[in-house]
Amino acid sequence: MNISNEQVPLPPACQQALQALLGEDLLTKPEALAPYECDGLSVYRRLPSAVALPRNREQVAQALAICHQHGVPVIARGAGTGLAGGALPEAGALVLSLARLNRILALDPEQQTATVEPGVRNIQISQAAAPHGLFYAPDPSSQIACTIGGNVAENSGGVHCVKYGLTVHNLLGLKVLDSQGQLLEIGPALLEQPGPDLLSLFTGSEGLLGIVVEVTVRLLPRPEATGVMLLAFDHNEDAARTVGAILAAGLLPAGLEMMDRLAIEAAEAYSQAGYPDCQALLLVEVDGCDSEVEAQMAQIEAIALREGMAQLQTARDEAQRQRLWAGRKAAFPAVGRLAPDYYCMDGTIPRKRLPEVLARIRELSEAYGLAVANVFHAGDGNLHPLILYDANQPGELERTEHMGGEILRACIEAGGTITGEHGVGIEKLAGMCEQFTEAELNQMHAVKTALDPEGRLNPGKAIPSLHRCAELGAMHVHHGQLPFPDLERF
Amino acid sequence: MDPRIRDWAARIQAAGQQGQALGIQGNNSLGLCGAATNPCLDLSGWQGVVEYDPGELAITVRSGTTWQTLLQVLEEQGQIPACSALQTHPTRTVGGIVATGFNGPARPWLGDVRGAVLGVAMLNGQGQLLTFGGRVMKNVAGFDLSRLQTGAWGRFGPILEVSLRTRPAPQHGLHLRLDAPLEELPSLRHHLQQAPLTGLAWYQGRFYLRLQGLPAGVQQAADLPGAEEDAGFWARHESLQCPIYRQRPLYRILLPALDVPTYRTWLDTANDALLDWGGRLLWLATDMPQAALQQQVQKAGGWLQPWPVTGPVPLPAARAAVVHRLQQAFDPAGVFRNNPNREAAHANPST
Repeated sequence: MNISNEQVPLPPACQQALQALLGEDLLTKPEALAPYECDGLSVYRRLPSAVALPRNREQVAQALAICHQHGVPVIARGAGTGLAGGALPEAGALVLSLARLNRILALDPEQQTATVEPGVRNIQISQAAAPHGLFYAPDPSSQIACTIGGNVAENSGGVHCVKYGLTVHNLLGLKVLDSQGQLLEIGPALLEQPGPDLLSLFTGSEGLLGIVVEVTVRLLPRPEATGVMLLAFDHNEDAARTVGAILAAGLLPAGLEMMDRLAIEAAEAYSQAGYPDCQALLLVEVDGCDSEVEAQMAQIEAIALREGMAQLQTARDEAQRQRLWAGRKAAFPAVGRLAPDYYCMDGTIPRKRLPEVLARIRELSEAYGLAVANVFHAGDGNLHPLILYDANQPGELERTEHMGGEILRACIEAGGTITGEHGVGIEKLAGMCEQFTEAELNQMHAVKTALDPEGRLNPGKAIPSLHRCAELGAMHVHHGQLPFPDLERF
Repeated sequence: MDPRIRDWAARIQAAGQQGQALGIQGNNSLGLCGAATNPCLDLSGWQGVVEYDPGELAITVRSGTTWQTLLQVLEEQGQIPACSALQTHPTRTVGGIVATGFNGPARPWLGDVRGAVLGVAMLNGQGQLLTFGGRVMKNVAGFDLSRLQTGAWGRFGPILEVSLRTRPAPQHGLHLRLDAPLEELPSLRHHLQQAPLTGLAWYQGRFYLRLQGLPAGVQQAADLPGAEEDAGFWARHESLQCPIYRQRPLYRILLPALDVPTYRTWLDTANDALLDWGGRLLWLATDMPQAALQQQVQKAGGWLQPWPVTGPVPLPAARAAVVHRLQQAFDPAGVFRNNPNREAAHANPST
């Protein structure tokens, strides 16, 4: 655990300049800074030197220029819902909150695009688009709170990625400020941008390469009809196999989620969604026109029966759908009631390796004596094992993190990745050392240096230094199991 | 270690030490390496499927594999790439499709090439073998240096392998033709908002629609007064065989918004025109001076690519500066500075 309440002040000249720019929108008193000492990974806390709450792009640019001039690091922050410590402050740094840049600048129903400031919350975009029969597809579970700027920084996903993709697939243009406050525009919103794909480079770069100040997203027509099915199974393996069988049959559900027994029980106790007593369940959402939805649901039912489904519930109207989703959406807080703390993992694996990785997680759970509830985006192989622990028990957090590291190692060995949608932040730096070679990490550092030569933007996050990897003793030990295993390394 | 990779890496390192430039060549289907004055790394023989498991909705191939081969391999399993690529030539390689990043007729509905990229293995300008991304759909570990290769024209180094998202092939398809003026496009688009479209183009006074998906959805959308079945256009259009593609000069113009009045002013003086992507991409054969057209396109917020391609279009200054710095990060000695080979392009203006 890393808790420090010691406040390191900004250089006086820097603070004065920021004060002149922002007035009361610059926070420097410890009690005002406290809410910014952590993000969603709250076991790590540090007081920033100051927090800037600019109200427009010009103020953001000027704040960046001031910090650059005085050599002060800048940590961008949206709603602070990130789960990997990406917005954790550091001593001597300015936290740059973009929450007040919260205007929807344009919504064009004809072109099906929305241009928004970074502090606009994810769900606000869909709400604004709804009167036009449109929606914004990526829907991370924190969508009522998380901001679109944060979504871009993390390349956020959600429960509908199988069909509609991640944030990166739904972006059409970005405006980004560099560490000196200079504007880079990747746009206007076109269906193809010339040159190397900078949209993707900035998406998921965790605030290390630039500060996003404007986002243009693609909106989609809301499907005419939607159906949700709950498929209950007596064996985890049957559920895992059904996932593969649905996709192999040529169906592309809008959502395909899986929960194991512990997660189901917790969710049921918390939300009374009417979930059946079973070992594993799948929630499948299909959309399209009415007849398409009927046809897909019939096909999925037949597949699931063949694979050993024990029970089926279906929902066609909004209230029924909401009820079936309620348990899944409440799964994290529900699991949170089972133990004082839980640690959320985010590995992604090829779907076919699901049964063996689940078995490995069970083994680890027994070996460490820590219970694990599994809730995950089965359709894209993105696991969210929740390790239950008690931070007040000496050594239990360390044990939990160690076990988490072993789960991520199992994901890498299965040909997957340490993070599917939550990002690296400070949490998964060790995993980065395992997933990437020295040359690959060096290439990422070279890219960072190319765009932020002084290393002012969110230093120390996302890409571990080789020094740190050596300290962790975790440098890239799984040569044969990496992506592209047929290509040997130098 | 495959000896070919070892050889390419050694050549890159030697070129860097000697200050020499290297081109990168697949099947040279764009004709840009034909008269190369610089030596080229030839990836055309670097072919084959590395891994394909249909249940994973992903395929990994060597970059010299042709796009046609990729399509065939996927078709055997009832799948397609999760994107629409512009198939300029039957011998076009997967590496070339990714490196140039041109999208095909179904782009607005099936997705773009960059979006389908899940991972790459590549050599950088120091001859180091690097892999970024992976084979799983969701992956946010580290910077996304795999999709960055899309549209990079090899300026960061040669792509050796590409993992791409796949998706189930549509179960049913219907191709329709509708005689109507361009001005009806906005209302047609509105009418088709829920339709399972994978193509909407306007060419020589007719709209052409492609509906693909589950039979039920396609049948429902096909109920369009005055529409007749016509599959010929889409076959010609997908393979760039419509008459307009033989016209010169020809431009490929991307615009941010469907803007019928602007299109109309260009169309009235054009030799031929094909409006694709439901109105967001215009192929224009016109004698209007390129500089004047360029200016109008820029004013409308779009970009223009003279066709046939001779290389990447110039980028706005801020973006060009970022790309230049990225080039130095991948290739400090500038081994790939001449990609694609411009001398070659000038030597073969007609290809």
